[in-house]
Amino acid sequence: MTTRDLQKTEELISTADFCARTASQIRMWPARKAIADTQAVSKSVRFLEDALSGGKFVAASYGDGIAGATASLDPLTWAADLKFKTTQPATNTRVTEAEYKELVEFLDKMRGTLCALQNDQEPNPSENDLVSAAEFFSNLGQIIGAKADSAIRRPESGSALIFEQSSTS
Amino acid sequence: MTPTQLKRVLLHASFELDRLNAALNHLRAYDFPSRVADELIDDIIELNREATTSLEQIAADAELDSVGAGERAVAEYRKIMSRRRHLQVLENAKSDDVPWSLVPSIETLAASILPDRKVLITTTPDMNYMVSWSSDDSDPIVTIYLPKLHRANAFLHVLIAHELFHPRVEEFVTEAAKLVLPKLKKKCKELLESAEGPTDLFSQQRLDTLLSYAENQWKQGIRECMCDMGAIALFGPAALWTLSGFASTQNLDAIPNHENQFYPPWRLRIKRAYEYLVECDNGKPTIDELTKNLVDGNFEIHANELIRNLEAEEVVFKDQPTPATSGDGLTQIVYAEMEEAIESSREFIRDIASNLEDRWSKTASQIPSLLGRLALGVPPTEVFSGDARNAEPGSTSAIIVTCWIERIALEKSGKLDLRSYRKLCRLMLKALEDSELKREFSTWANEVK
Repeated sequence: MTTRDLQKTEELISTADFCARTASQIRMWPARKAIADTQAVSKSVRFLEDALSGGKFVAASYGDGIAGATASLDPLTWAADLKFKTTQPATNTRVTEAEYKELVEFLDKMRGTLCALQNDQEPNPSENDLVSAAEFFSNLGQIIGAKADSAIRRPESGSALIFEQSSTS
Repeated sequence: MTPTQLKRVLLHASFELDRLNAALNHLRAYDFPSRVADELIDDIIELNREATTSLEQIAADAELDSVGAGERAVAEYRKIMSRRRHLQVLENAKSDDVPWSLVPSIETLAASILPDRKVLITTTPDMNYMVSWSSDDSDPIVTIYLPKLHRANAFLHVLIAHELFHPRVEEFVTEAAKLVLPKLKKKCKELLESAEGPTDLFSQQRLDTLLSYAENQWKQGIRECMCDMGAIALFGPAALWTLSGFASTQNLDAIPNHENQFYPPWRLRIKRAYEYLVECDNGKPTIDELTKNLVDGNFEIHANELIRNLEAEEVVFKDQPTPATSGDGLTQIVYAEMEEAIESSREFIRDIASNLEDRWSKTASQIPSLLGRLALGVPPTEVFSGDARNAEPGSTSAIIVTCWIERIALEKSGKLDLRSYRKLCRLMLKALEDSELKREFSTWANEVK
């Protein structure tokens, strides 16, 4: 285990958590017409903004490049893992610039939907947009959650030792 | 997730919370070297209280959103499970488990490097030093991990200085990475478009993953080198020798990759650390003056060994290839970009170091006097200038460098074996503890006057 392991694991757990919470808020919105978990939705909006920033940077042709304004490319790669896996099962297949632009548009749409809910904007997002956004965050939460699970449950992460100690009490 | 499964998950999570709280309250009974452990216990119990509320809300929302309830329950359980590691952290932070005499000195150091944070010292079964902290400002606790078996190995604990700099250098790493990304992107595109494609990465074919790989490699490289520089700024040659000694048990030229979390090769780290030592913060003049003072104080062997052991470190990296020249494909590209950022990264560390009154370049004048104490076989706690009652407590950096210089002199004379080494470690720890106590007493005495 290293310093990076510790930091990365916390980040994965937190991201998987707010994705699951956001997906649930979106699903419940048609009935409640309000966002109760504003913290999770705010974090998801920030996540999308980071992913968008990264996506625009990667998608832009060289020479027109926007300097990466995001703290990390992880939000983009996680979102891209999800998006491209659903359209391209093989992860070692090249992704074209057009496909990156499509990803950017998709992420922008997700952000628009969330911001509309967050700010109670009119007109409300359509049912299709809500289903799409809920599915995105739900699936993203599961992918990132799986990464977090393998980090937590590795023997060197310490959880095996702790389990041994706890089992005697 | 079916309603039955959800109920089982919620019950399982509640049971875990209950046991976690019981274990935390049990830990309160132990003795810890500082109050930070109690504060961490309070923080986790508060988080567990919030988790209980969340689980209740999840159960209430299940009727409206059964899918989301299941996912939220799993995510909440994952958070609870991740807090289990704090049990081990606290168990290993007891006074009996950490070098408790060192804790006050570390806390004082940490207060100057990380002013808004509190430090908890714990041990780990790994042969490693690590640090964890939250990017959330509401959680100020920084946890430093030391290798459990080396609790009494005072010389190795110099590496704590490296760990303390990790939270500080993140702001530089994050901002500097934004500037280097366009250059990395250009190179990654060229690599993808070349006939051979990238050869050193699990067949990464997406530009975003290749770029992310390059970004992580760059960030980790600069991050670790900067923390090494921070340790050098504080403890000078002692930090260099400790880093080098730690590195000597490992492959000096391991290429940074996914499997080793992109840690830069040790040979390069020693090079950067050495360069900081002699080129920054008055390093070379301080070394020269110290050498002269040691000779004047009849510590000629120590003076010679100081110079000889610094030259020995230079041999480790001089005329040796670096990842920028010898790494594979992308590594060469990334490390060439890292070279460009070295000067600004050094400046960042210099700025932080300029506020550290206890850094070695400011306290090196104490070393000959402290060596005099070691020559008598007593802890190098105080700097005597004639009046024993008003002897100044030795600074942490001066004590550490003093003990290292004594160590290398003993190595030269063939007198350093396991027994004498352990004795020297005990003398160092005692000196660090006593000098810290004396400083606290002096501060209190002045306030009372």
